[in-house]
Parts: sequence; C-alpha cells; structure tokens
Amino acid sequence: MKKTEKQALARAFDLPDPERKDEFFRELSYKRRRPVALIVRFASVAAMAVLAVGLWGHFRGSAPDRTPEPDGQIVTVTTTTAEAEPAVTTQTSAAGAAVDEDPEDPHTDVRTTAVSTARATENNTRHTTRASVSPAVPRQTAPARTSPPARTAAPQRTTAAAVRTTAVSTKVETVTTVPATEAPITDLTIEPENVYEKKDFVVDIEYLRPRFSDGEALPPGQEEPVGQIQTSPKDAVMAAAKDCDTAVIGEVQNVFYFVDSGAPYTQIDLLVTDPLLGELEENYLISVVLGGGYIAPKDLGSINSDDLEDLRDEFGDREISIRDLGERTDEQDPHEGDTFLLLLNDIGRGYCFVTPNDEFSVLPVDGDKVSLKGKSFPLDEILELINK
Amino acid sequence: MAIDLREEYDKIFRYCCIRVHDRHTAEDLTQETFLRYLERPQYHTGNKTLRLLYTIARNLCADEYRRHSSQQLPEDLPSGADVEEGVLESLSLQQALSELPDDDRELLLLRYVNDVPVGVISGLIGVSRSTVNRRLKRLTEDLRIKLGKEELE
Repeated sequence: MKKTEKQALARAFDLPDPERKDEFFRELSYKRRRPVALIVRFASVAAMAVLAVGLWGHFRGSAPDRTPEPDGQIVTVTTTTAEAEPAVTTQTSAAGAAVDEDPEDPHTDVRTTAVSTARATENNTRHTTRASVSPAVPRQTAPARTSPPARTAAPQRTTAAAVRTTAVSTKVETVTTVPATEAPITDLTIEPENVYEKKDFVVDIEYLRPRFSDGEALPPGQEEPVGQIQTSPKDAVMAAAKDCDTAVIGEVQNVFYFVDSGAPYTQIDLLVTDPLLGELEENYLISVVLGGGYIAPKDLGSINSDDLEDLRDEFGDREISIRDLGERTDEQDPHEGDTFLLLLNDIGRGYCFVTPNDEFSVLPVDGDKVSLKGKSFPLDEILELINK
Repeated sequence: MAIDLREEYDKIFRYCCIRVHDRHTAEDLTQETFLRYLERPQYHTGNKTLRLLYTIARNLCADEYRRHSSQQLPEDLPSGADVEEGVLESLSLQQALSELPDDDRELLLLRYVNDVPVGVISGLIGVSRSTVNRRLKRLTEDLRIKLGKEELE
C-alpha cells in the first residue's frame, strides 16, 4: 500500500488524539527518576569500596595470585629457565585432576580429565611465565594433530608433541620430536557445487509455516496432527539399519550447504573413525548428502511474495538464511568436529553417500551413547541393531 | 528494535479507541498498558516490545468489554452502526471503513495506520502471517472496489 493511501486511511479512521499523554509521561519520568538516583548513590558507595580494596591490595605487596581456576579448567604453565635447562611444559588440571607428565619422554602422552565440553578446551587459561634472563633460544614445534574434542564429559586424550629444547654453553641444540605416524587418509570426497554460505542471522522455516498443510493457520501452541503411525525411535533406527548398506561412525570435517531445485541440502565431509558395515575403512574421508539445510529466502522454492514481504517487514534489509532441516532435528544438524553414526547407502564411487532416511539415519554420538529425538541409547544397542 | 514510547502511546491509544469506542476509557487503558509494560523489562527487546504492548492493550480492552458487557459502552466514536446503508450515493473511505466488521477495521489500523509488522499482528490475533497478508489484501481490494477507485483516498 502506498504512503498516500496509508495517510488517507489514517484520516478516514478519524480517531482523536490523546489528551493526557504529556501529563502521563511527566509523571512517569518523575517516578522513574527516583530509582535512578538511588542506583547512583549505591554505585558511588560501591565504587568507593572497590577503590579501598584496590588500594589495600596494592600496598599489601605483590603476593602471588593463588586464585583457583574454575573447576575443570586446564592450566598450562610453560617455564623457560636459563641455559642448559630444557623447557618444560606442564599441564595440570585446576581441580587437581590427574596429569601424567614425563618431560624426558619425547612422546609425552598427556591424559587429562575434567574436560566437560568441546568448548572447555578452547577456554583453557594459559599462564606463561618466562625468566627475564632467558636467552633467545630457537624454538621449533613439530606439527601436532590434536584430536577434536568429544562432546561429552568423557575423558579426552590429547596427543601433544613434546618440545624439548637444550642449550649447551655456546651451542644451541634443538631436539624436535615427530608425532606418531598416522594412517594416510583416503579421500573419497566430492567437490560440492552451488555452495551457499550461511548467513549469521538465521530464521527457521517454521517462522514462515505455522499452519496446516492446506494453508490454514494453526492455533497458537497447537501442532498439526500426524496421520502416520508413530514408531519408537529404536524401531525406526532398526528399520533404517535394514535399509542401509553402509554404517560408520565418523567425525565431521567440513559442512557445506547447497541448493537444488529450490530445496536446501547439506553436504558433509566425514572422516571415518569406526567402519561398522560396508566397504569403508578407517580414515576414509567421504561426502554425505543430507536433505535440508540453509538457504537464501529468495531461493526457497516454496516461498511466496507474502512470505518475502513478511521477512522484509520483520528484518528489513538484513541478510538472512532460512533454516529448513527437513526431517532432521537440531541435534542432527552437523557442525565441524561433531561425531555421528551414519546409516548410509553407497551409490557408487564418484557420488556422495546418501541416507535411507535422514530422520533416523543421522545419529549424533555422545560418548558411548547415541542421542535421537531427545532420548539417548547406549551405542552398543544401536551397533547390535546394525549387526543384526 | 528500539521504540519511541511517546509515539507508541499514540498508536496504542488509537488501537484502544477502535476497540472500546470511547476516548476516555481508551486513554485509561493506554496508560494502564504502559504501566504494565514497564513492569516487564525482560520483554523490552526486539519484536517482543511491540508484541507485549499490543497484547496487554488487547487483553485490557477485552477485560473492559467483558466488564461492561451487560451495560452499553458509551460510543463517542464512529462505528459500523452509525452508517445508514444506501442513503448516500457515493461512499467515502470513512464510510466504507465504518461498514467493515470490527476485526477488519482493527487489522487495517494495526497494519497500515500503526505500521505494526505482520509477524506481530499474526502473533497478536493468533493466525499465520500468510492469513494476515491474505486478509489485508482482500480488505484493500474490497475497499478499492467499493470506492470505485484504484487508490484509496
């Protein structure tokens, strides 16, 4: 509707102006000012207290900071001393978790505990203390491949290449260890086409479709009745297991989104860690295509002009992606580093692997459990189903 | 999305007017709406703000209607009942509007006078965005046909 038409409509409604608006906001501002004054007073008192504590701490001397790290955090302390002393890297858990350390062993296998989530590893606090007289010792670190963290509280193993630096009088010798040889990766991935880059701002497809299949609106809070016979997730997995010819547990290396005929798809590169069924072997890198993903609103085949107008009304010119995961749930939306048990169909070399049924074929692995539809099952049970 | 409370005051007042048909009651309800809104700072972000304001106003108007359901609400504002159909040869936009059911008038006011996003309206009246859009499209087309003009004026 044009602006002139809107103005005409506003005039036609012929609604009066409020009479007591100024009075209302005057009273409102008076009422709201009083708490502000109180807050300012409290804030000034608090600031004085902080200043006093700071001054007391300053004049008290420079006592070492013995503040304990939050539970589960790993503190890495690197101490480099003067000549002839090797640099020693020590990893300890703040909570006093067991740490095995052997600085003499070139292959230091540090096993840590109390890592709660994948993010915890990234948030480790690192304090580096270096002696001020330390000479410029050349340091060389061998490339170390760190296994991406599991998503559980299970103990996590980190393979770290130990760095041992020895300086003898005027001669500096650097001893660098090489990480254990790993099996070569067999790359069977397919280059994705028409890759769509997911935007930072994502709107779920449900935003556009809170309605019955025939286009009528759903009452708030009500779900469309399902005509299908509901089966238990385990039965559904068993059915998917019968239909698949390949089953693997693997770690997601890359995630791509692409569009085909107005529908979004997700392609993942999966590094096989546990081949369960089929011809794939460990360290095979495969591409798997899943229905659903992220798509630009204009590319969505099912979108209409009203929907686009709604999105413009709500979000303006902001760049958004529509998330339509199809049959998959949030937990089945893969991200780099995630571990999945996938039930697949091998449609031949040169093609991506596909799933017989995304809903029950993409199973997030959570330690020794598999989660599906908000429930978790022992991984062994699922493996048993697959082997049957 | 930051909102100008003073500007929203006018809009909520208009909304209350169209629902209760009495300017004094409408202003009382508008002020009550803002007082209740300010008690809920957790909703003062994004679209929640508008949604909350209109939801409070709508509920207060409904309460007011129920409270006076046995009595007759004083009507100092034009409504559909004021128009004598067929008396006038040519309909003005004001008359065409007054012939519409209250729900349709409310929808037009919300969307085109108060500029409330379709998403907020759909949440407010409990229908999908597409339904809101369809109803708006049908309403404006009907008005144009009634007025015999391509543009509302």
